[in-house]
Amino acid sequence: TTLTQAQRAAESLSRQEIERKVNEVVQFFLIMEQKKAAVKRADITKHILKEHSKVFPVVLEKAKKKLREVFGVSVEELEGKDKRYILVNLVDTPDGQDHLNMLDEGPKSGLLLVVLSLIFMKGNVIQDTLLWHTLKRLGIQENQPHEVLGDVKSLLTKEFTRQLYLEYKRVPQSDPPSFEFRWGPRAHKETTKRRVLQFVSKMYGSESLEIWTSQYQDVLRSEGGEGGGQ
Amino acid sequence: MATAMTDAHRMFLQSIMTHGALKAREVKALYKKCCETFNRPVEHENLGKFVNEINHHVGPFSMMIQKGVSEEDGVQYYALVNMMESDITHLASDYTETELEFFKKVLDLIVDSDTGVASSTDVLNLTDLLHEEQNRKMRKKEAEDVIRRMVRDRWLNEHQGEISLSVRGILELKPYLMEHYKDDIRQCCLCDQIALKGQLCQSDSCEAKMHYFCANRYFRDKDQPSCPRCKADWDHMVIQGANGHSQTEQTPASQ
Ligand SMILES: [Mg+2]
Ligand SMILES: [Mg+2]
Ligand SMILES: [Zn+2]
Ligand SMILES: [Zn+2]
Repeated sequence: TTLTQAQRAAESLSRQEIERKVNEVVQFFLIMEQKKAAVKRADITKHILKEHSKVFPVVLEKAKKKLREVFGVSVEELEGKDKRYILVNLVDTPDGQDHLNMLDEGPKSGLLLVVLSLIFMKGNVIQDTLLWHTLKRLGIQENQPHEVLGDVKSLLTKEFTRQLYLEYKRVPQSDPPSFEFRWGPRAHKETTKRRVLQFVSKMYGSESLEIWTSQYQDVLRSEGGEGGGQ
Repeated sequence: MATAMTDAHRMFLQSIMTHGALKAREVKALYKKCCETFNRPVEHENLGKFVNEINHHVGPFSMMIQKGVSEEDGVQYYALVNMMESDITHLASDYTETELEFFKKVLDLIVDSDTGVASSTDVLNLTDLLHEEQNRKMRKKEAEDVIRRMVRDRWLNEHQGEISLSVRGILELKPYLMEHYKDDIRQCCLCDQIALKGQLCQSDSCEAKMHYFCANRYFRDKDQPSCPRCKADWDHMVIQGANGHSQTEQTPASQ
């Protein structure tokens, strides 16, 4: 298997060299996580492993273990053909407050949660015109800097998109071009459809999720099996 | 045998990483919260031990939780410091190359001023210099935005149109500051830490500088303020507000 090949490759490096690479990979993950960018396997090879690319599986396993034990985060692989990873918090606090990711506090996270909710309630995709129309009612304008949030348009279409919380894409063949928002892969890893529906229900003062028939079906489907994310 | 990391340690570490820097008061509250969440006894006298336990585990990654004192008000802060990079590049994850070049110019301005502060007007005008010297284009509005983000990330402080380097900035950039401004950076003659904001000895031949809050503490019960280094009379400025640059009041040295 790959791992035994990798173990053999690892033997060509000294224990200390492996250890140093592992620590560098851990640092790299943490730096990229602060930027909220995914770590590409290709970048780990290019910047850290260099000609020792074969040791990747061994180094990744050891780095995962350290990230889990010291920092309380797991390394999650994103879907897609290139190997990409992000960190997800594992420390389970009762109030659900997450100290690493941003889905917890602050005005920006608040906006993000609202946008994720609107996307989910609309059937997992929302036209940007409809999103802006809805946000306007919350005092947030597409082309006007917000007092607290600043340039909201660039926040949604650039920052949150780069951080993989949102996907912002042109509707294929649309003319004039129109755009739509979806959840990005980080949103799928850091939260769940159930949590978002609970948030929406709470906003409407309701405890029951079942009243949102189609969304609740979606929640159940997403919990039904692995990879039922979309 | 070193103490293993527990979820309480991890929650604490994650919080410091997220915030960049926290006041000692906030750190105490965080420590309490982490202990309570994971059913550990809260022993405030053990906070230092708790932090050391974390430092033992993050050391291999060249990281360390360090204490620093804010030049603003003498308040103690904790920050997670990256020990490896002596360059400014560890801001690179959050800022573009042009933004970093701009930041370096802001640092020049702060260090060059004897008071450790730069006016926002001068800071925004650095965009012209950036264009002349490096042919990098940055609009004033973009510069304003970078400053806002650097204040948010606790690299810089902004108070009434004056910009200075924060305690996190000083802790993390210490190696960079010492290397790039060897001859310009002074240390406080009372606490021995870098002193960007502070008072200078008025004697031409003396290089002594001290933080405003260190000076306050030092001169508090002295009738004749004099330089601890050269003994020359010292025109002590009593600081009224939290910030050592705007609200100062001069008390003449006693005769
Ligand atoms: Mg947080
Ligand atoms: Mg950063
Ligand atoms: Zn001092
Ligand atoms: Zn002197």
